[in-house]
Amino acid sequence: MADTPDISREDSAPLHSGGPMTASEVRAWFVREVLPLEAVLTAFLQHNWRNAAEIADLRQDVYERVCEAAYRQIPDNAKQFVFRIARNLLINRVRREQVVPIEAVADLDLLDVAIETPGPDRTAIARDELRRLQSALDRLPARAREAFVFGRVHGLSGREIAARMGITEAAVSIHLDNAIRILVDILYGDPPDPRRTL
Amino acid sequence: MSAAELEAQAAAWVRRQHFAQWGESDQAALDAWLAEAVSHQVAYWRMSAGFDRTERLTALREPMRKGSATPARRNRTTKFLRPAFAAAAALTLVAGIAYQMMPREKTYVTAIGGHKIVRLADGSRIELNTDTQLTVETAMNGGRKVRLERGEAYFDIRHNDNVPFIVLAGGHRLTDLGTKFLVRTNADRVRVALMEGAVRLEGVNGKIKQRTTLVPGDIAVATATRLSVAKAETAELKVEQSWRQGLLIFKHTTLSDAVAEFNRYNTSKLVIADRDAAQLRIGGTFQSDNPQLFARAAHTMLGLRIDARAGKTLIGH
Repeated sequence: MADTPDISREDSAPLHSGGPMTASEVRAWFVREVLPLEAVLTAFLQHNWRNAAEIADLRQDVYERVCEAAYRQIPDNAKQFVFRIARNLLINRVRREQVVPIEAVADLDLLDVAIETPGPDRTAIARDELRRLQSALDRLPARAREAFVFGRVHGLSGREIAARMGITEAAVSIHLDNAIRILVDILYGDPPDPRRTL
Repeated sequence: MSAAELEAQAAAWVRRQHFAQWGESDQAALDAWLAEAVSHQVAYWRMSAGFDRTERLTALREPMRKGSATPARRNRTTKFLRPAFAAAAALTLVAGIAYQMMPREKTYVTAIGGHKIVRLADGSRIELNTDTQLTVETAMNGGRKVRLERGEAYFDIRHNDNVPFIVLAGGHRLTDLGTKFLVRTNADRVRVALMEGAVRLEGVNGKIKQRTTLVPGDIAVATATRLSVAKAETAELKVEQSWRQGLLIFKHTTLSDAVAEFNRYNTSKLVIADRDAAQLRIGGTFQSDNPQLFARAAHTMLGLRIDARAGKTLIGH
């Protein structure tokens, strides 16, 4: 292979079968631009969809569509793009279910207002991050918190945590998975500081 | 699949990655799962990014207290120091310190274009890339410390709970937690790519406060004032290590970056004589020790003019 160099111009031609963007490019953009919108997006979905049990599924759907599109091209304005997708998704659901919640359709027209809701102040987030993390920890179930603190704060492995807590490794895994899911929900889903946004 | 099920799976991957043994086969299984669907990627990226944000919690680590949550290793030491053994332990300690004061040192150097593999007594392996100098210091208790003075090296470390493996590079200390990684240094800058296991990265002196624990796929760049960590896919990590096979792999790389890479490996330098040509992008796999072949390929495929002179090759329009 080294003897037959396959040099080529790549000014425009994409290399990757899935699209011009690589997974790591899409991932970096998703983490940097889209995830910080989660609190506003969730609030928007809750406001426009009656069934609270479906909010997580809707959000996952939005993320999926957003990233599928980002593989083709990274959108210039992430916020506008995410909310346009969310809006289209809701409209399609409304149509499909044929039960038209009048207020939902009306609210969709207020979307432009929702987009202009000021996002969280990023420097404030950085400053408050540790305090936020601590309060997030406090909201975990006791055993999940204990397992997570052993693992993340003190750097113990699953096996060592099991020995410490006197439970099986499988039980530790359940506590840790639980802790990770709840923490991530709190870190992305909650407004950065309730006092600031109220 | 519901969002709840996806989140559960993503959380389990993140948990296994951080709190269990994580090897090449685990990474391959994760990569395969991710490749199955964008929904998997999105759920995992979100969970992983959220988990990374909890890194700051290590700041809450308190000084060791009896009965508090502390790493198991400390406990063993405490048990060992029971009164009955205290005298013997004290002797051992003195002897240990005496040995540590006269560690064995050995320096390894590669020239431009060189490549050398160093095997340590404990089975660890260090591979030196071009133009690299490092010193291995082995204490009699088995403690291993490597100073990467210049260049780039790949480490495949036999982990030992009792004696850490430490790499010093660019003002930073890397403490191996069982692992394979790549380190490249350049004055006060260090770049670390982690393939397997875990590594702790922190500043050596008090001025550098930042520290982080790297997981497989992380590529960290640290200077005296900045630390950034990016995620790389398995394929990118392969490219990072291609020098171990004597190859340079370019993907959508500018001609100027490609030429800079060739010049790391060769005393006969490539020079781009044209600013526009420098920005052309190229891809391909090349032998790192054959810049002339690369220049000829640039001529054939990009239509660039090649002008070979004493000790250097000019590339331009």
